[in-house]
Amino acid sequence: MEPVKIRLDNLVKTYMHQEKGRIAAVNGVSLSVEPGELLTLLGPSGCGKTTTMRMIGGFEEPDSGRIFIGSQDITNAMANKRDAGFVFQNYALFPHMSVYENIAYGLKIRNIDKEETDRLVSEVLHLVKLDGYEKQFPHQMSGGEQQRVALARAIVVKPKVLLLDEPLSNLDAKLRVSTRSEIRRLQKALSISTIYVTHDQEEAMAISDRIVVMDHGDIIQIGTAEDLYYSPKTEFVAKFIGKINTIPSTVLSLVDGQAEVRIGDSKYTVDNILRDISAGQNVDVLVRPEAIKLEVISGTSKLTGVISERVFLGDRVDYTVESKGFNLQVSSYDPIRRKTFESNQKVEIILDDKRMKILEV
Amino acid sequence: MPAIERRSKNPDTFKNLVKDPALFISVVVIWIFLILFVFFPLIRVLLIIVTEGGHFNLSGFGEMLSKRYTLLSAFNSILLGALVGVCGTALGFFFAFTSVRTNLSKWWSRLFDWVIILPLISPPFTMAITVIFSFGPNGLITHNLLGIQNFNVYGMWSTLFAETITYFPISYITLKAILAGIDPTVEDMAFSLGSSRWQVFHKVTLPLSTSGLANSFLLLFAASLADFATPLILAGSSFPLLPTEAFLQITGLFDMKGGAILSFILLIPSMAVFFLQRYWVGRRNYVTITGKSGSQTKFKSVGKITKYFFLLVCLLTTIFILYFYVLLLYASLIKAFGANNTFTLDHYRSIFTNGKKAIQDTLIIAFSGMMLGGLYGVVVGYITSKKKYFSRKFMEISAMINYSLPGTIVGIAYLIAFNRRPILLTGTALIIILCNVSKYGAYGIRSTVAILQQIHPSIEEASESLGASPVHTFRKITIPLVLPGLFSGLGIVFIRSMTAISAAIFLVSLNWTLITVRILENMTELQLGISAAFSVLVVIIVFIVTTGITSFLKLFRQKGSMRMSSLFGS
Repeated sequence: MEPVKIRLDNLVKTYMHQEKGRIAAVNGVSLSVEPGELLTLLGPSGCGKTTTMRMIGGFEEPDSGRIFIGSQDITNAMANKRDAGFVFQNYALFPHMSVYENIAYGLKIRNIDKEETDRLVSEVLHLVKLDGYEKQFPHQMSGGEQQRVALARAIVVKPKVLLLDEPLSNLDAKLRVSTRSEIRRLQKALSISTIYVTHDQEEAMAISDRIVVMDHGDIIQIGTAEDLYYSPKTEFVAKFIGKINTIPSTVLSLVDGQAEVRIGDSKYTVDNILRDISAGQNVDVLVRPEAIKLEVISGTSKLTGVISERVFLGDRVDYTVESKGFNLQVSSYDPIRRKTFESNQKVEIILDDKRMKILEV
Repeated sequence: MPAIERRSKNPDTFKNLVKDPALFISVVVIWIFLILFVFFPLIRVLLIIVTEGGHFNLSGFGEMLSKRYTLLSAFNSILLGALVGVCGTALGFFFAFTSVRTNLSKWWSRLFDWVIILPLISPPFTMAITVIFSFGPNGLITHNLLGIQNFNVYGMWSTLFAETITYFPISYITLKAILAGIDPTVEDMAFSLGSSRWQVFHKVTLPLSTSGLANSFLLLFAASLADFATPLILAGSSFPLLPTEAFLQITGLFDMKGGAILSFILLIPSMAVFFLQRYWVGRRNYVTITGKSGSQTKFKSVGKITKYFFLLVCLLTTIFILYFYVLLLYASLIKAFGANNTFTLDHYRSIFTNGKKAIQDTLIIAFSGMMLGGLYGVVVGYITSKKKYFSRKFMEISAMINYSLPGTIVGIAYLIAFNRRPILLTGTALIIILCNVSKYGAYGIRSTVAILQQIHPSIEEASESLGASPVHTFRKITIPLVLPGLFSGLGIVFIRSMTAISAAIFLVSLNWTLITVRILENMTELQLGISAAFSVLVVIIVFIVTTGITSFLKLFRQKGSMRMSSLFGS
């Protein structure tokens, strides 16, 4: 089956809140999922990602806007007419049915004969590595196994699109990592257009072709993991995708879209500016922890600080550095090959102009 | 324009009705049923009360109200209700606390559970009959044991006693749930902070059970208010009560209007209880019960002496209840209680010959009521808790009206409403069945709602996303999952139909009669042995049905599903 495109056009969903009155859960969301792409909706709880997903699945009706799967407008179609496989956070396996019956459920509705059903069920069970589990019941299985049954049940009917609503959030950390690469492998093999909802940025980066960052019902930025990490448009995105330091600074001058800023007693030139600023203004400069270098203090050091906390994590050492008026998180990778520092040690802080950003708040 | 405003706030409720034809049909059918068999009879009664010869006239009402006897009955009813509420709650608390907090062995808890459930599943006269056997003029205790001649058993105290024993299990079930819902670690915490056992009980346990105690009081108050059978036998003429007076007014004086007025006075406290429960206790309850089953606390909430005192009270009550049932069995097996103690099976022979029709009728009516009431309960419970549609909230309340009203009112209302065209039902089995469905179907609704709350909505959504239509989802997913609830509901509708009298007594006829009514007739004809035999028969039938359903439920019981017995409470 040819993969199809999913398109959301200005979707709006509002709720009545008892005290706050009418509030928008989804506030005019437009996006498209390319055929065969895995697109992730990422954001904190209450950002509208699950509501958006439920509208695509047909479990919520949008106040306005349209939803297209392929060329078909499915905005007002019932959930059972959408041909969208949905995997729920709590798996939602039918507790009174065996694994076989759970998976065969959708096939029966499509009037597929017994022989073909048997073949498809064992095929999909092989695909999710649960060969021979046909007769088990959901309550006899572990969370990870249940999760894979839920996935198998959704994909066995070869839906046009796959919708995964925080499918890994009930699994433990190790299982999450292995299951997410399983999902990605299957999704690529089946080449099925997929929307994936999560609040976990690492999961989103690991699994997605592109990520949609949402907050308060709005789309903040859409892009690949690299785009979002290296070129976030707003402070919210920068903070949500990875860690970032905010360093208070004063703008000294503005020339050709470059700003000269002062941090402590040092001057830096920032050219990555996505915000209207003017000379004399105090702004936060953003720097990722791994973009900061620490050095042994010398006579010429200008920006200095004291290590207040040192955490050894094996692949890196995380430092908290106290400087004048601000704290910094600094990550130093592959510590065995680098100089490391001790708590209470005074250090020089080296910031790279090219990796500093001034972003929309 | 409030209606339009509401519509614009929630436009989906209308749309859903149009989009989902199965829902639309169910809603229409249920509303027709509710209008015909809940509202219509009540409106007919109201019309009879407030009109005279077709004109609005309250003089009959005023006249009735000004009678000293009416006021005395009303006062007595409320006094008795309050006393039963207090005594029953106290006894129920003893049992609940003992069962939840004294680390009873399994054997003891099971014994208590079984004995306590007996009064709830017995025909309504059972306790009254055995009180007469024990404390009557020829009573085993008063006459034979204490040698008192012509002891007067009739009046408030015996009624209070019998009703307390009959209804305290409701309190036990309610309070047990509340006490079990209090996380024992909360008590452990108070204890570890240096409180004495009494302080923990007084400052932590008791305040946390307040809502349960209030709820239990209201439930018992309502049960006593509505109780018709016990006072009819025990209250006597010196202690008139509203339901019995209404009955006598109609059957003795053929004064339909007077009976209707008396039963309507009963409506005021009943409605008060209904709303207090729904809007006051109901909300508070929710906070306390977490449904989390924490680990059993090892800390002993009670000292040794207190524990044995509690156990003693429970044990004595249990022995007393068992004594009553043995007495009932004994009375059914001897020639004449108090006069001729020769063993005989005559009474049983009699109920299976002369009483055969009553037994058949009762079983037919109870069985039909069970099927209809179960279906009604599941459908109403399902759509009111799962679907969003116009009039949902109102339907939910309406379906509870007949259940919350004293049976006397419902019985009189049916009698008045359906004894002429367009709906002529007097003399049929249908009138009794419909009355039972509209009243006891509520148990089916409650059990369905309770079990639905445990089924996550995503399970049904998963079915739809796999392409199943709502009807298919309902058949293949929802129904199998609510089946346990359905069966508990069915069982209780059956039991209530078997043991009901307060409404049914107005609806029986020559063609269709009930065991409970025959028990009453035999009591008044002083054929106590036959009454006892009938009662034993009902207890046995109900016991078999309950056990059957309970063991059937075990077959496909789901984690965390509620026990059937918990439905008897509230």
